Amino acid sequence: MKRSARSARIRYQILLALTILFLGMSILAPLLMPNDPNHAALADAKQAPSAEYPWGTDWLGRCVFSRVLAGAPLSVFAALAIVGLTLMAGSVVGIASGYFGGRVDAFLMRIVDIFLAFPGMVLALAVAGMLGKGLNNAVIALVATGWPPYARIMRSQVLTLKEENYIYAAKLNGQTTVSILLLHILPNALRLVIVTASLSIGGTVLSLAGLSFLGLGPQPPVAEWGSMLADGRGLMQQHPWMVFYPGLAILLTSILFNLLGDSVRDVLDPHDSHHLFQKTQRKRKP
Amino acid sequence: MKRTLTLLFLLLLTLSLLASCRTTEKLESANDTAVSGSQINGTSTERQDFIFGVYNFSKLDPADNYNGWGTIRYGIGETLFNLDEHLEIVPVLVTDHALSGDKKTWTLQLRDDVKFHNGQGMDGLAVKASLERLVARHERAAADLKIASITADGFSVAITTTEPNPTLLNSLCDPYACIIDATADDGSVDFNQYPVGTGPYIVQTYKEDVSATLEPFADYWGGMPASKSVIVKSISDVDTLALAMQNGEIDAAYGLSYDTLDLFSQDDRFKVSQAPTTRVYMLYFNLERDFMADENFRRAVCMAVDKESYGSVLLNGAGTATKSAFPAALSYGDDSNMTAVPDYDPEGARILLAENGYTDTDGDGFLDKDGKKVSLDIVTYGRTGLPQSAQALQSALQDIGIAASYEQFESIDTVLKAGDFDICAYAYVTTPTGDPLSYLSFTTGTGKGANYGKYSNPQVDALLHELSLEFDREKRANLATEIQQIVTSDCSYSYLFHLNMFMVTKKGVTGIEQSPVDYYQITARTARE
Repeated sequence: MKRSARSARIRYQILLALTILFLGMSILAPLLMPNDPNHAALADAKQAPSAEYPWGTDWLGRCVFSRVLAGAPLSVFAALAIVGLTLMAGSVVGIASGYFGGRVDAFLMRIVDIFLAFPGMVLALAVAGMLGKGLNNAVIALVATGWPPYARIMRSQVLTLKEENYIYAAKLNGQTTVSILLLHILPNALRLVIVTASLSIGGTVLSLAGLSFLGLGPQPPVAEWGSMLADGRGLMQQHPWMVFYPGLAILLTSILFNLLGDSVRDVLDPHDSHHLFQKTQRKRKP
Repeated sequence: MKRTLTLLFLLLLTLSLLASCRTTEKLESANDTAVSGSQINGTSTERQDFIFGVYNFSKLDPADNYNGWGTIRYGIGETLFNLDEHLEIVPVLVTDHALSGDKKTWTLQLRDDVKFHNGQGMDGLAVKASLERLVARHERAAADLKIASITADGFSVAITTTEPNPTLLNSLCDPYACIIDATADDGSVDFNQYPVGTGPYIVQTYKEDVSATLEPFADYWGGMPASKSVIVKSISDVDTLALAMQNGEIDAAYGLSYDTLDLFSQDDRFKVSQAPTTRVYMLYFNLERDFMADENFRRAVCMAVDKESYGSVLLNGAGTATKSAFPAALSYGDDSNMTAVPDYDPEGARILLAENGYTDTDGDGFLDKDGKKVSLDIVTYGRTGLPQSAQALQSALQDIGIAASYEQFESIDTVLKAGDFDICAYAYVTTPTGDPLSYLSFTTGTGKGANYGKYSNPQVDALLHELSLEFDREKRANLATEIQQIVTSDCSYSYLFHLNMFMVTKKGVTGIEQSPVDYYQITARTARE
């Protein structure tokens, strides 16, 4: 048992280091670009990978390698921002709902129910469609449709926590509601929410790329992986590099964040430290 | 126990999947034998279904906006006259025509063997009713035709115009003038779905934005149509359309992206037919905006555009660079007359901008003037080649220091009417009916419907009026040239390139090809082997 906990921790540390490296590279990406990502030279359009253009050029003669690099900070940090914002919005609703209970709870949870009744991406499309094109609107759309699961999780956490003796003790001590929520409930409830959040980063990278693939994300000439895919789609059969490399970037990013999310769960998930549960779970595996 | 059950269940599932595969295989092979059987029997003339994939599936009431294009394209309706490949007028439903001495009355002698889909004969009264329905509903048609009165007598029709109208016969070639049985439009059917025309095909079922199934019209005056049925399929995503063509789902495709041109011309399963059309890719400049109002600024914008590369690279060679709104094949489309149109010269554009007070004072890499940052809104819509051109323009402007945003709209006309743009990349068929008047008047006449840049010049208006009354072809050409010279002299309009359009069909498909006139597609001869 100890060994597996340790190996999970080591895996987590390696992946965390990789992610930090990746984020660092994303920040520095614009400095590594061999060419101006937005400079169009029609004479150089649709060129195969070469020394000058390591990943070839797109239909407008722009360097695909530079554009993938230029798109990195945008895709990655927008996804992180979306996850951060959904986490905050969902947590606030969940805490309010769980802690105050009664009518507040009923009202907030019905809203959550409504949101959960629609498939997430479809709702995001509708919201983004109404708000109009652009990166900010895509982020708003994904936040507006992504918060309900967090509210649910937070609420269930708070419901169990608020019956704990130390909360009663804090109440008896005369602490204000706000300080109880912030000092006692939030830190304890946050664990599971963070696990969920870290697991959803990969999916968010994909959703964002999906929205911009459909033309609802950042507008040309801004380099974004999803819109690069959309641009190169028609030329895929003749000039595959226009879609291959942005696709690869999306794939690697989402895999990295999914693995990280997995190992964050292994390390943080309270269930895992519960010996009995883990034992039964082990037995079930063939 | 549980495990065995699960395994059994999985096994069953797999088996049932395999079984369903086999049944479909059987069905397909049954179809194959049926087909080969008919070929063995020597009935190679067996008529086939013909599936036509289009990216811009249209509604069908000719008197409603541009829907007549669909009516004509799908072989449902016909106009009295057609345009041939040289844009000359040829009679179709008419045997003879004559103009009166005062040049106001055209007398048309109609064919006596033409029937509508509902079995009614097409006589003078029917043509009169069809045209009267049109001008009552269609603003552009009413303005083009200028009909004062129509009298019908048997199989002859006399059309009297309010003033001498030299382009009446041209306008009668426009898809809006498709002849339909107006008496059938009594509210029982929607003409946008089931118009009653005279063409070789009748609409059997029409599903909006999905497809139309057309049956051959046995009483067609041109003989029995060649296909057993025609299915017009809407595939609005051009990449999906290309895939549908590649995997044999459709027999012909219209509106494919120019990126796929190589793909199909190199594949011997397909036939590519190309034709130069009169569709011009042009730029509207909004003359009421701050910077666009400055002639020198517009000139610099024009000098930044590498038209040749747009045609050869962005459209894969299907665009021919132009200075005129009309193709070089027409006498009023001669580029050498357009002397005031600047050539591609980005360096010259930078100098011109600097000379006129556009400088980068705040060092952000973009120009400003009198404390105002130069920033343009470029807009366009989805027609193939336009988003590419507009984005290339955006990038070219950035190179000479002009900041520009780009946005693509679904319905561009709303944006244009509201005036929320600086530059709009637009594709326009300049001689839809073989005459320059309609286009020039609509886009350059003061306050006219497609004059989105708010151009206004009394001299041009006077010339347009003169053109509308002139019957002599040579003089008309000179007037058209003169008007273009004036509107390009101060770079109020910029024409980028003319389009070669293309259509891809399977090998063995006959009777359908890209016409220089973009609205002739399905005919009575359209069929596949």
